[in-house]
Amino acid sequence: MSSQGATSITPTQFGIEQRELDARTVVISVQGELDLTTAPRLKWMLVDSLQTGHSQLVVDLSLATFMDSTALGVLVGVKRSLDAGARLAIVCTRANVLMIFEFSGLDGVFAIFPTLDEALSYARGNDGQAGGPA
Amino acid sequence: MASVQRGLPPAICPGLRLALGATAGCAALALSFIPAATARPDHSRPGSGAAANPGGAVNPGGQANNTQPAAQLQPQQSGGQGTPGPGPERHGAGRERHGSEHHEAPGARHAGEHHEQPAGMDQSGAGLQQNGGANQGAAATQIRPGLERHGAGRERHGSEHHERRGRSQQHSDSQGSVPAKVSSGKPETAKPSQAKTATRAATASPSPSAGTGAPAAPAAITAAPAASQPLLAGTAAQTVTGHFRHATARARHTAKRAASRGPVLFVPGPVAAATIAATVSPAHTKRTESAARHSRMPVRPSPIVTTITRIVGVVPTPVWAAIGTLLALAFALAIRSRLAALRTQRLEKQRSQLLEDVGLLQSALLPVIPSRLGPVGTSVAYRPAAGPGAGGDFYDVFALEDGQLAIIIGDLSGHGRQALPHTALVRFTLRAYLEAGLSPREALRTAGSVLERQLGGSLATVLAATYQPRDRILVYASAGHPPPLVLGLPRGWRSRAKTGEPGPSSASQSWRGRPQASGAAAFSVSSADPVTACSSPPIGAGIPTGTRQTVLSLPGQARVCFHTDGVTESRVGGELFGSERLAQTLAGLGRQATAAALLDSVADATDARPDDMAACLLCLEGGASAPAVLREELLLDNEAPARDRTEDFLLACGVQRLQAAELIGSAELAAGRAGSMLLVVRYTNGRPQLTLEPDNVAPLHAHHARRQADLRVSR
Repeated sequence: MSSQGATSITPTQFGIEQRELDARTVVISVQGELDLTTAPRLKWMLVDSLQTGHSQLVVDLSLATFMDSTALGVLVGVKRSLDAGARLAIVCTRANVLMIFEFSGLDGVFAIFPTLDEALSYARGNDGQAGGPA
Repeated sequence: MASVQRGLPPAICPGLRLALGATAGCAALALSFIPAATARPDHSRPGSGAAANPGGAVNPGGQANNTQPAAQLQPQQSGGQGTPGPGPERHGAGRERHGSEHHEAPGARHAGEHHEQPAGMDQSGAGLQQNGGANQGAAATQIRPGLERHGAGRERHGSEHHERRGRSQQHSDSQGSVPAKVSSGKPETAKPSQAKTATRAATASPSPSAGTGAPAAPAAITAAPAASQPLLAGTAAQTVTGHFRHATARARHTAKRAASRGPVLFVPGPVAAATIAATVSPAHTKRTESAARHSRMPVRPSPIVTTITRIVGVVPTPVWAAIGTLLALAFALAIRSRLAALRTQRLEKQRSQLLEDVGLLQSALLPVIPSRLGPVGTSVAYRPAAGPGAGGDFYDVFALEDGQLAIIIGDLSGHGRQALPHTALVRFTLRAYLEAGLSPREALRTAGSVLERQLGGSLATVLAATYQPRDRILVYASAGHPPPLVLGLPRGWRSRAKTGEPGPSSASQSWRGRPQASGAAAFSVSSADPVTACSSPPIGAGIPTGTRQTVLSLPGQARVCFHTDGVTESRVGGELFGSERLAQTLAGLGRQATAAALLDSVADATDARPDDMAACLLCLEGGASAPAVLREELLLDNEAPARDRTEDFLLACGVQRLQAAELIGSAELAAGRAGSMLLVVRYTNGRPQLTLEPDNVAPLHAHHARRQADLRVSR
């Protein structure tokens, strides 16, 4: 999508793992490409976390190399299904993935942070504001 | 029997067989056609009767020789009419019969011997005798049709012989008078019941006592020539015909019953002789029967029928079962094949109907676009992905009332068949608003608020655009969708606008479609570089969309390529194809570029296409000119966007940071009062001018929001 040049993505084996920091907080780390085939795994992992009582979700996309509209749809769907008080934070540092958020106009929908600590702080409600940094 | 055979002079039997074998065929044949006088000597072969007749073992060869003249005394008459005493008559007749048996043919003899030997090892003389006679007759039948009747007759003799012998077990010597009575033309002496009993005895039991039935054997022997005579001699033989008919009928029936148990090819053992006799004899007995009735029933089964009957008769039961199974299987398969054919026809019909329906649906979702709309060359193309990603892309290009073109292209994030109704819904909703005169941004904003709850959770990224050919003004608004690729803009034009410098406005600039600089970077600066900050979210994301709009004044010969993300997200060696390569590919197609050719080129250049690809291409006409107008719009309302995002937008539009900060403050104030406000960056000679305009869609949107609030309260 970028007109500044072909976005280079490194083919990486897709991986996704879930870490339960406490009874309410879960960090889901994604590696590789989030696309039509892998986005459902992220979706079900997030849904399972919500169903098991976790209300502070952090999706770490630091190692994600690409994300398509399907993955965006997953994140949007989870975001919309959050109960009051539950929070979803996203960690993203890669420029091309950030560009995807920007092009889609969803950078204003999600709370996106450059570090995991900031994301956890937001998810736990320690930052004192609902909005996230662009 | 074995002892009997051993008791025979070995030199006699083989010698006679050898000597007479050559003439046997002719003699037997002659028997069928010539008077008994000729046949008579053939019947009275000495020694052969002794060889075959166990009971006749008591007959020395001399007696046989004596009989011969006796038979020859009456060449014109049947043997039964031989009036000499019972003793010689009996022996003579017996020898005649056996002699004739051996005269049949060498083949007959061998066939007979084949069965004779194993049976003869164990069996009594009666059993063996019968076997020999029967099989010889059978073999003779097989060898020469002309011999059949004769052999059958002799076989009948064999059966009859057993009857007599069996009966002799019961009636002993009282039957000794039978030959005399037969010869005297009184058939009633041989009762049918007796014959039946005898037949049963002879057929059912290879009785060891058969050897003791010597007196009965001659009686049969006496009758045997009499039976054969009707064929030969006519009326004289008819005196005994009735008698034999009864006897042979019983024998035939009994043998048939035995044969019905199944043919036995070779059964050594105690029952072998009787079984074989019963097995083989029916046909011969039947022939004998017909022979006996020759004068009244000249018609007999043809050899073909007989052969078929015999072939059918020797098929084993398992083979019959197999044949039956195969027939049933063939029948079942035939039925199944027929049903499958009918089903195929039905499915074929349904398939054609479905294809028609799919064609209708396809045309409804992906309309046929004329190659030209006014002065604009238009083309569209769609390449569904191979796999689960197929479906979800949609487009539309149509003319508006005021001469403008409207373009819709979008992608539903939920793919597959479930996405089809949603794509149609989004497309027609947007088309209706565009046709009603709303700008692309307004159409998206309105449609977003309407479609939000109808998409069932799926996201729709859409781009709506209008093009006014007279001024070559392109207006587009995006909802999470990639911006159009515009080729033909002057090099570096957008970059200067970003930095706040005035864009080129004179026609002295080169407006060729191809970039003037070399290298990959040349394309990026020659195509429009859109402002992506503060992009509108997709429809269905739960937040208002239709917040951004871009207005371009395009030069003539420019090309605008609307596409879905499947194009730029196809892969080349693990990398995204990207808009840069897309621009190169489009430029490489030259002036005859079409959307289909573009997608074909993309498909050729990429090695993986995980998503649908759709493209709409506008080829503009007109003289070289500069983009005179560039306008960027951002809707501000109470909800969004955040202040820093608005600042990003303004900076991207080339507004100075200080000026941006001022503007944002006043814009937020105005938006707070009016509920929403449109922030417009207008370029005059490349310089951005900031203005705040009222949101035209606000009343509609406010009405919708009020209704939603009422609904929430009512719940």
